[in-house]
Amino acid sequence: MTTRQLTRLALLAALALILFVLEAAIPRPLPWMKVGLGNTAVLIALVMFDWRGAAAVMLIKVLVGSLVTGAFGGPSFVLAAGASVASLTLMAASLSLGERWLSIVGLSVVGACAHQVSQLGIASVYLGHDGLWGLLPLFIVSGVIAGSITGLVAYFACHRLQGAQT
Amino acid sequence: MISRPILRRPPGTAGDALLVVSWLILAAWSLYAQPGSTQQGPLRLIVWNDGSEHQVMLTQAQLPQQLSFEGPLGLTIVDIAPGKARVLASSCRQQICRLSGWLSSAGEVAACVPNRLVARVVGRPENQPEQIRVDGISR
Repeated sequence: MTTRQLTRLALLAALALILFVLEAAIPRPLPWMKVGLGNTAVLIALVMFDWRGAAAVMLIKVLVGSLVTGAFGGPSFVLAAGASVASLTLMAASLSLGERWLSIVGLSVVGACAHQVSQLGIASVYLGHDGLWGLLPLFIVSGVIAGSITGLVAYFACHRLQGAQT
Repeated sequence: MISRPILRRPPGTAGDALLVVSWLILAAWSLYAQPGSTQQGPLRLIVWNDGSEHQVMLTQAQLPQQLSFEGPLGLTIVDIAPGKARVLASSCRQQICRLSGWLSSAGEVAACVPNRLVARVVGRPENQPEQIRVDGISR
């Protein structure tokens, strides 16, 4: 990895962190729903670098972000970390399997929905009860909406970044 | 940085549409196949708290009342009123449970994961008749 690439990845990690912390501070559209703007940087790192670069950005976002917001080590941190890992794994798998027929928005929707479903799964295991699965339809629909928004942001950001590259 | 086709492809491909439709089908299916989603019986609140289950009728004469549940972070206060219930106060950080507001129809959920509490409304209000199922109509 060149110094230029490392710098860009570090900037993406900083961007992910800033968006994660800012989003934690602003009111949510629904109590359990957030757009996940921090994931835009993870998505950009995935498509412009590789899954390792995206994993580095995601780890910094979750670890440092939860230290800043005060959630580190608690159930919210476990939920965020587990869901982020599941989300990135599914996005990386979709990118390697479906790169020929997907756009960044499709990739983002996969990541957002995987994040939502895995969050419910982890929460259900922690609670020892399946009562939360009633929220699955709402979680998936909000995942599709949030994933489309972050995907569009990532698409336009990638265009700008590619233009800046040449 | 890699320059790959996905970076140039405009959003809204057939693959994107297929993915979105698949997720929405899963959402629609889960709406009808939810565990414990029942319209039967009187309207009531089921609270799962740290491994134990409590049922509270939402149609009783002694309402309103407040119940408190002990969790790992402290107390969660549940406010019960005729035909509805809500989390009134919680010792958790994010307050998602309290912000979920009043729950009044079957399937509505308020949850506090850090305090290990899930509150879910099941059943049917008293004035709402049971759904009549017609097998066939003859004249």
